[in-house]
Amino acid sequence: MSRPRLAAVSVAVAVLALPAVALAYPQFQLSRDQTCTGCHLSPAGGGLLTENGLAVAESSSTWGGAPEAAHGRLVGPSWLTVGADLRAAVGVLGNQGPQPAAFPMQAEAEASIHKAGFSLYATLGIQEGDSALKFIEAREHYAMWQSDATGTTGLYVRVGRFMPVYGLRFAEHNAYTRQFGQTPLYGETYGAAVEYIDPRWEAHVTGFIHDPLQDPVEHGDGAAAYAEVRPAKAFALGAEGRYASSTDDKRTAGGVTAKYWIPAVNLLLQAEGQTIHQTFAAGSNRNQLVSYLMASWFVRDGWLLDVALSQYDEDTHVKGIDREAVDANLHWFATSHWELLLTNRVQTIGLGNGGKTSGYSLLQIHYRL
Amino acid sequence: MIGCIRKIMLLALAVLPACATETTDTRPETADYIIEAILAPSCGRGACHSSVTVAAGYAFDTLDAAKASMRKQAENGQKLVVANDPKNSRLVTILSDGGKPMPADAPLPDADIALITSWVAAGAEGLP
Repeated sequence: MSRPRLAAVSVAVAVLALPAVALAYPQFQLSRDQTCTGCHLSPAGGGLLTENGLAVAESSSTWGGAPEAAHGRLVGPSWLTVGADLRAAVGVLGNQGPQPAAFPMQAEAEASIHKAGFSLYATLGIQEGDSALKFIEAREHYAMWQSDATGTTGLYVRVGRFMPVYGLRFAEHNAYTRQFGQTPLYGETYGAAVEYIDPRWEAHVTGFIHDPLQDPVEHGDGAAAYAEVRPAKAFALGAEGRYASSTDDKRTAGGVTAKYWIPAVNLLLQAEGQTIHQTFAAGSNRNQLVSYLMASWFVRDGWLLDVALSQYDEDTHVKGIDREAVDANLHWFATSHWELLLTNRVQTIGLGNGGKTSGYSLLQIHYRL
Repeated sequence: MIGCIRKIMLLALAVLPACATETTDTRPETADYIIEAILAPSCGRGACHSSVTVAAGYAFDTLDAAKASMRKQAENGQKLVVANDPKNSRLVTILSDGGKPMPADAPLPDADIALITSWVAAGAEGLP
């Protein structure tokens, strides 16, 4: 490798650590199960899998294999569930020219201790940081009670550190609705949530405060609510609202979501629109718009193609600062534990006004223990 | 079924015309606004120049963190903003540099860079 190229790679590695702490695969809701809790222990989705989730991981992959932790070789007591996620990426980033990039994304272990409706859930991982204290992170840790100890519906109450449920909760943190919306990477807060899950509807209400112990990404205190109704098995409509207040700003956000599964062609459509009114401590304010539309085609066992359109307007009163992007993500769930994801984006500024264009193409490797 | 798809598409497309209310740029040329409204969402993300990672010594996710990190880096001889001199202000040049501009995956809108340039040229009000 030439020295300039090596230098470019080094810079990319050092500066562009773009971890993706997975929230969930909302593509699997309606297409594989009605609710997030059908496959995950958490009422928000993401993280450790239920028995049904393990079965879906196996049946949705090309070659399957024992989906349990450590490929079934790690058999623990029934009250303990463990797992881990490792992710890394290599590819090209392009802002006015391609720059090679390679970086770790996630190295995180998870455990849940559960008994008679009560559970303790915790993650422990490593992340980029400027101190040893920040290097080790416990992104989520909470205590939970659920009314149906052995089921996947009913009332859930959580207290601890987690991401307040809001919107579609994509795994990719650079989805516009996450990056510019209200669920950014490392946006977990301390809070208490009351959540109800039913096959026909669900609701989540969370009161939260920013993490007082370490530098948080969400600096505000406030509340978030998300509700979703599923009038038909293949159709869901959601509404969301959120308020956060910090020393820098106050944000009032709202939005809608929609999902439609078309089994005849194995296609899932998802959309989300958010508005955010932000008032700065210095006195000015702005209105932002974020929207996302994704079509996910389950091509065949193990293969999933997402094509998404996104739009972000950072201030609706200013011309030419809107951003639009087209994403094309090809997932290959090779086995119950291995996933390859080719993720691509083309982004432009001020669509139709000759604004700057950029993009990236990254190959992600994901291993779930 | 087709009707539902059409409704979803129309809902998504309905968001775009909402931008038609755009007018001229009257945003404040202040450190507070530039840091909170422009740098924080584009540069101060969790994995980049946030208080969590402080990549390259900078954190832009809050006003206090941005000012503190810029002050600290300036004390180390790496001044990000030179008041009244945008051409020698790294903050301006790295956003528009033709070689390896930041953010690496997505540029800032020209109007944002112009606002930052104008703020620096006017004396970079609000920076320590």
